[in-house]
This record gives sequence, C-alpha cells and structure tokens, in this order.
Amino acid sequence: MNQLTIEERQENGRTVLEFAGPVNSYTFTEFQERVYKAVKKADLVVNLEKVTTLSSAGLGVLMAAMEEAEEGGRKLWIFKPSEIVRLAIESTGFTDKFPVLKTLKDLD
Amino acid sequence: MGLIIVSFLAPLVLFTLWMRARPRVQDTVWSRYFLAISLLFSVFSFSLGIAYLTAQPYSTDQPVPLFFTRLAAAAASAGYIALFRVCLSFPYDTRNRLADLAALAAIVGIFAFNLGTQGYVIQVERVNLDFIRYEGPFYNLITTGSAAVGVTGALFLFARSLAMRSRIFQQQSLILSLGTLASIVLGFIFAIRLPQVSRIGSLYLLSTLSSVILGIGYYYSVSITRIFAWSEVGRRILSYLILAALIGVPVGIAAYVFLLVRSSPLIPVLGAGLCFVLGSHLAVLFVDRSLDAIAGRKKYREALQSALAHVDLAGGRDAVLEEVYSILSAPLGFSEFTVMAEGEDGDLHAAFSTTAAGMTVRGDSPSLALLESKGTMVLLKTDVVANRAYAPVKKDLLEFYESLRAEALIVVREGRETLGIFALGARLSGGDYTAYDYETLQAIYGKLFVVLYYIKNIARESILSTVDREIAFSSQIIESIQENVDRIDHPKADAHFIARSTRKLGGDFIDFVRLSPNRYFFVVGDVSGKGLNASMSMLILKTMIRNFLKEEKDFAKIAERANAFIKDNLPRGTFFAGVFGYFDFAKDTMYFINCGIPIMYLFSPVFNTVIEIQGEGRVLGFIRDISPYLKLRRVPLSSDSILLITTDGILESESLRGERYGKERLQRSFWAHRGDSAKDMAQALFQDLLTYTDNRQEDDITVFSLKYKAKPGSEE
Repeated sequence: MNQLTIEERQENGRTVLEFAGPVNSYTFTEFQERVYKAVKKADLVVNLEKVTTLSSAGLGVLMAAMEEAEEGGRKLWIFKPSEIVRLAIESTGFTDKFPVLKTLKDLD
Repeated sequence: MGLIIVSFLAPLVLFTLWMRARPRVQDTVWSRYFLAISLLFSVFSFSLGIAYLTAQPYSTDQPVPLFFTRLAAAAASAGYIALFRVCLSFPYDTRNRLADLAALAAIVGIFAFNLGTQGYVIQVERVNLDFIRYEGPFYNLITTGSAAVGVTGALFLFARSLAMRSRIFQQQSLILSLGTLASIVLGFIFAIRLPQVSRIGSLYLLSTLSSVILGIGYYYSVSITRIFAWSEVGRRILSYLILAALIGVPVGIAAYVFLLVRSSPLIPVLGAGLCFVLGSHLAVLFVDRSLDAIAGRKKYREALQSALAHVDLAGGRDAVLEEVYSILSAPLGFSEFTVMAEGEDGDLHAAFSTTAAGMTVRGDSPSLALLESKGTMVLLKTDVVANRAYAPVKKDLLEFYESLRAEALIVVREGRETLGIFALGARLSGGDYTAYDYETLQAIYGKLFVVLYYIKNIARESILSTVDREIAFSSQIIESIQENVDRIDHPKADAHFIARSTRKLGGDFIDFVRLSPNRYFFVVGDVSGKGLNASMSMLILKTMIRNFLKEEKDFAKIAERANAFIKDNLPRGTFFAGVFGYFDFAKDTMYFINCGIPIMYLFSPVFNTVIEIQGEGRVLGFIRDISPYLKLRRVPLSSDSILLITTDGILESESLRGERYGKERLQRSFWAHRGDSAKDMAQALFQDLLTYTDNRQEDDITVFSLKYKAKPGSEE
C-alpha cells in the first residue's frame, strides 16, 4: 500500500485521526497538514496502528505537534503505535516523552 | 552604630559604579568629572563615618572628629559644585575652560573655608547615638547654599533636556537630574532637617546614602543608551516595593514580637519564616498577574519567536522575505525594511526593500568592517548616538544608518563573514526602539540567521529551477557541499565515506575537522525533514557545529549547543540523529557521544567478531536541556580494527517485498568485506544495499568506514 489513508472523527471532545499506510516523502505533507490542523483546535489522538512506515520527517511532525499542543494548553496522544512507529520513537531515545496510549479507555 | 557600615560601604559602591561607567565615558570630558564626583562623595561618606566613630560625649576639644566633619561637608559641597558644572553641558562632550576654572576655584575655596575657619562647624560631639554639631555662623549658608547649587544644576539640566531633540540624550539628562535631586533631598533630610529641626541625630549617618543615590544616577545616565519604557520602570519599582512590604512588614512585626517577648525565639522565627514564604508567594503572584498588564508588550516577543519558527523556507525567496517582513512589522511598526544579503561579489545587495530596491553596500565598507570587528549582532541608532564607545566612528556609522534609512540594524554573521543585514526603519509611532525591542531583536537573531543563510546560499535565482512546485538544488552544488570536508589524512587510518542523497535533497551529513596532526573531530548524522527544509537545516547545522568547535574546548558542550541551536532556531520538529566524536591517533583511541546514531560497528581483530558499540543515545533538538543525557564514550582502537558508522537510511531501506535491510544484513555485509580497503568496503556495502533494494534508494545513505593501523604502514 503506497497511499496514506486518513479517517477523522470526534470523540468526547477530542479529535481522533486514524492513519493507515506509509508516512514517507510522498505522503508526509498530507500527514503534517492534518495533524497540525487538528492539534490547533482540540485535544488530539493519533492512531498509528496501521502505519507501515514513519520517516524522520513524520516523526518530526509528531514532535512539533506535541509542542504546539502543549503551548495551546491541549494534549496529544499516540494511540497503538505500530511496530515501525514504536521503533522510530525508540530511536529518538525519548520514548518516555511520547504520550502513548494502549487503549482509549486510558484517557478516561 | 550599625549605620556606620553605610558610610564605609558607600565609597565601595561609588568605586564600583565608577569602574563600570568608566568605559562609557573614557576619552570624554565626563571621564574626569565623574571621577572627581565619585572621589568627593566617597570622601564625604568616609569622613562622616570617621567623625562619628571618633566623636566622644561631653568633650569640647575633639580635633579629629571636628576635622573629619568639616572635611565631609567640604567634600559634599565640592561634589555639588562639580555636579553643577556637569549639568551645564551634559550630555554633550564639549569643553568649557572658563566653567572648569570657576568650578575648581569654588571647590578650592570651599575646602579652604571649611577646614581653615570655624565658619561651618565649631565643635562636634556624640552623645549615645546622637551626633551633635555646634554650628558656626555660616553653617546655614554653606549647607543651604550647597544644596541650592545642586538643585539649581539639576533643574537647569532638566530644563535643557526638554529642548533636546535626541530622546536618548533627553533620557540620560532626566536620569542624572532626578538622581541629583533625590540625592540632595535624602541628604538634606538626614543631615540637616532631622538633626536641626526634629532634634533626631541618631540617623545622621544615613545621609551618606545620598552619595550612593547620586552614584547610581550618574552611572545610569551614561550607561543607558537605549530608550526604556517608563511604564516598565514603574512596574519594576512597584514590584520591589510590594515585595518589600509583603515580606518586610511581617518579618519586622515578628522581630518586634520577639523583642517584646524575649523568650524562646522559636515561635517568632517560625512565624517570620511562614510570613516570608506566604508573603513572597503572594507578591510574585500579584506582580505576575496584575503588573504585567502595565508592561503591555511582553507577549509580543514570544508571539514573534513562534511566528518566525513557522516560516516555511520552501516557499521561495520572495515569499520568505515577504513573510518575515510581515511578521516583524506587525509588532515593531517600522516604516521601512531592507534585507541586505551577501552576493557572490562579496558586496551586500538588497534582497528585499520597501524603499531602496537597488541598494548595495560594498563588502569592504569601513562601517561593515567596524561592525564585524566589534562582533555586533544588534545595534540601535540610539546606541551609536549616546554610547561614547562609538564616538570615534559615530559619524561614519550614522551615515551608514542613513544610507539604509535604518534606526536598528541586525547584522547576521557566519564567523567573521557578514552574511547580511536586516535594516529596520524608524517607528511609525515616532518613538525610538526601546531596550525591550533590543532584547527581542537579540532573542530572534538565531531565526533571522536561518532566513539569511537560506537567502544567501539557496535562493539564488541563477541556480533555481522549479520542478513540481519544489525548488531543486543543482546536484553538483549539494554534492560539493557534502564533499567539502577535511579528509582524515593520517598514517594510522584508512578512512572513506559515501554520502548519497535521495532526490538531490536530504538531511544526512558527515563532517571531519582536523584539530591537530593526531586528532580529528567527526560528526555523522541525519537532520530530520524532507526536501529543501532538511537540506537547509543540514547546511546550517553543519556550519554552526564548525563554529561551536572553534569556540568550545569541552566536547560535550558542542553537542549541547547544537541541541540548543536546533531547538531554538530550526523549524519546529527538526531533530538531529547522529554521533559526535573525535579520533586521538596518538592514544589509539576514539571518543564519541551518541546522539541517536542507529549503528556503530567495530570489528575487533582480537575477538574476531563484529560488535555494536554505539550504546544508548538521544537525538538533539527534542528537549531543551540535553546535558544529563550526553555520555562520552571511549573506545580503544587496536591495530586492524575496523569502524563502521551509518545513518538509518541503510537500515530502513526495503526490498521489493517490503522487508527492511536491517542490522543483521548490514553486519553480514560488513563481515564479508572486512578484508577490503575502507573505500572498497564502503562502496561494497552500498552496492549490497542497492542489490537488495533493486537499485531503489528511498532515503539518504551515509556510510563511514575506517580501518585502523596502530602501527603505521603495517600490512592488512
């Protein structure tokens, strides 16, 4: 699968974005636009369970979005990161800084 | 008696203020006048302290305290005469021999009269804490006259300031006149009014505080060269008063209770401590919430920094400059804006201007050379006007400002080379740039550096081509930048690297710097991002690391500064994953700090195996304080050992079936080619990867290999 599909829904006042496919140089721009747009409005849950590739640029988007959220008094969570995403997060050495959720019930 | 400390500390304070003010007034007429004033008021304070200490009760013959009392008064009067002379022409550096001679004559006269006659004071004594003076027939004339001279001078200076065209000169004059008036009032209250009228002589020594107030006044009058907002001054003074009231009063009450009770001090001390904690907390809350509104424009700095951090450098040169102009002009409100960037001919040309589109500044311009020599980053016109350190070059600099129609300059440099200048014109409000504006411009300097670097190195029309709305670099240029590194040239090392960017743009880089014949610094890594932004960030970071290397002796500090630079100046979300290190061939050792490099392999001939040596590491640019996470590692290099470092491009590459290349395949390839030269090995590893990916390269690839020979010239 070379295309990145995105589904968005609202849940309990939060935006949930589900991504499926690769976040690479071809799909990065769309990933960035959707995440930045969403995090400026409300708390955001980014579901990366079906992400097959996460480039450094995509990882940078998550980092930047975390900062944006914090500055705006909002929260961002990464939900069920796929193995690839988990490895990318681990490669930063700051696994503990990424707010990862295993279930959405953890939010409540 | 404890107040004696004030009179002995005052000369120290005056001396310190003089030393700090001296560079501001050297080579001007004020240099010797402020020295004279400092000396005279130091003599005043010191003498008063000596007089107080040596005076005895009920004795009519006390020559020592009498002498020092007369000396103190003479010094104070002389000080005010000197101050009057200053007020005649401050802040202009003009000489007036007649006024100087008249002031000198008056000073000599007052010393002679006070010390040689009984006109001022006949006798002194101290009874308990009261210092009593037996006044001579001219006592009132001398004290009132001295005060009048000081007040007249201060008022004259105040009146002159109203007619001054330069706001910074006006501000300096106001500070000096206010400082003088405050000093006279304080001195008059404690030295004259209270002892004479209210018969309170125990606070006499507090009059020496007047010299400190005066010292502070003249120090700020010569050292402040930027307009400050009076509202901010009011806010700060109010903050200190509130803090003092909320803390000082309860602590004072507790101390009073303790004195009254005089039993165990535990309860009053605990009470005072509690009051201190509560009081200071409330005071800070009140100041932050209520008084920040007076400061008003505090928020604009943060908003400005945030807006600049979001500038998209991939938008094209004109769009980037237009965006920067619009971001800066909103809060700063300037009439004109010009960005000068260094061209290939070494001169500065206008890359953007609201007025003078064709402007050029010669690269060898004396004003530019002066700014470079002083290491100036931000320079306000008021600084040039009012800071006497610029006096020798004031005319040239002001002409430079005029040519750019600027009131503020931000000079962007790379090492000693000027990349360009941001020239901000006069404020539309008519006001000058303030101290707050100056600090803000300094705070955003790093971000403006990034913009100008982009303008100078990337967005040159001669090498632009537009492909699918992306601005593409000539592959020759980016490869030449990548290849522009010191090579490791040492008999003990056979080293080679391959750096291949994908789509001609990428964030990988490798750099070596020869520190000495036996020591080489290296950095290998990957700046996150894609396309032009990643390339830009990579180039800038590479340049900055080389700059840090020149300035830092502590190896870990380079990584810390790189982290701070990425965090503060590169686009949000940028991070660097790599390794900093250096080889010490004399000690057969490699030192390194892992900042997120995915793999460092070392082939050990002793154990005949390949081992991972990178350990834990953390990327740079994610958190503000990286220092707790930086670990310096040391690896001895034995003969025939082989080092291999790669960025994640190799490991993350995928086959047609979607399988990652991974560490194991890389290790196998490394093992298979360990007998090759460093160059052949690096090329073979790269070729093995391309074979695996069916000649597809999706990410930047960087491979560095080094074969070590502890004994130079030994066969492999």
